[in-house]
Amino acid sequence: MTNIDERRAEAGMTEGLPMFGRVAIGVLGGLVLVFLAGTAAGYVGAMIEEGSAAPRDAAILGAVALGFAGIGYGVWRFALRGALAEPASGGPGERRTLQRQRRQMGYIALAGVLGGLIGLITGIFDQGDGSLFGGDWESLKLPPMLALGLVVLLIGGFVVLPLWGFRMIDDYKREHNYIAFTGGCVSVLGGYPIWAVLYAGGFTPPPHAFGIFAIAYVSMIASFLYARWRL
Amino acid sequence: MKNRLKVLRAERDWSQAELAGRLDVSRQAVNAIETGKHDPSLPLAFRIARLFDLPIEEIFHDEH
Repeated sequence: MTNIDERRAEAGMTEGLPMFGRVAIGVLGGLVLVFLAGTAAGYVGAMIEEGSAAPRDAAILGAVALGFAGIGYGVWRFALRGALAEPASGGPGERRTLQRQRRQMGYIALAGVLGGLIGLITGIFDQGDGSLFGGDWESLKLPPMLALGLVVLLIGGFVVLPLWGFRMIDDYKREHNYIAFTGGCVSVLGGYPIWAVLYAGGFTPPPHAFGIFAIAYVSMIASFLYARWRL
Repeated sequence: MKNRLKVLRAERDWSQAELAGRLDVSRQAVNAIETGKHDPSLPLAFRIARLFDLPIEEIFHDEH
């Protein structure tokens, strides 16, 4: 049994909105899973440092594990299973389209696993009291060899995967990604001096690196969504 | 730019996914070309012309 609508298939709409919906669920679910994994890692790290497990912490960890399982099942049920199902009609073109979708799902899954792995390792082995988000850099501390390993994973996640992704997609989706990267780049070029001037005028705290990174990332996602829905 | 892609596809009773696979592009790209939201690159336009065994100008029309 598949979730393909026969009437839509006959009208040439086999994988229209449902496919986009599945990808959205997959991406959103992946982000929630990474967040839950990071939360669990943080709790486990705190419990190890304290040397004891309070019932409240165990309950929270149980809830996080249940949430993880629920979200994981939801992503499988609504995002992955439908995409991995055989198409209603099996022409050579549809088979190639299905292969393309499987490759893209594999790409998204790999990116999710890589992101989760980085978050998990950082959460478990973090030795300092610093905050990446607050710009408290002096107190950040990781074992040196682990930091080098994380560098390798980050290069994989932020350099190799995006470049590989560009090779996988067609002109249409590449155009969306060009717009997304342009949006991120322009926002940083404009955002940093604007932030600096606002700081000088006493309106904001001083610019810090994670803030600039966040501006780039959020702008990139917003630009991509604009391109995806408007173009 | 207008095109006859949807008509040509319908004549062959192909779904968008079928045409996308034959052109080695995503189904969303086929949909965007059919609805006039996206103009294909020249290499893709040639692939489309070869697939339907038609000259490019019989598939794509300049609106001016």
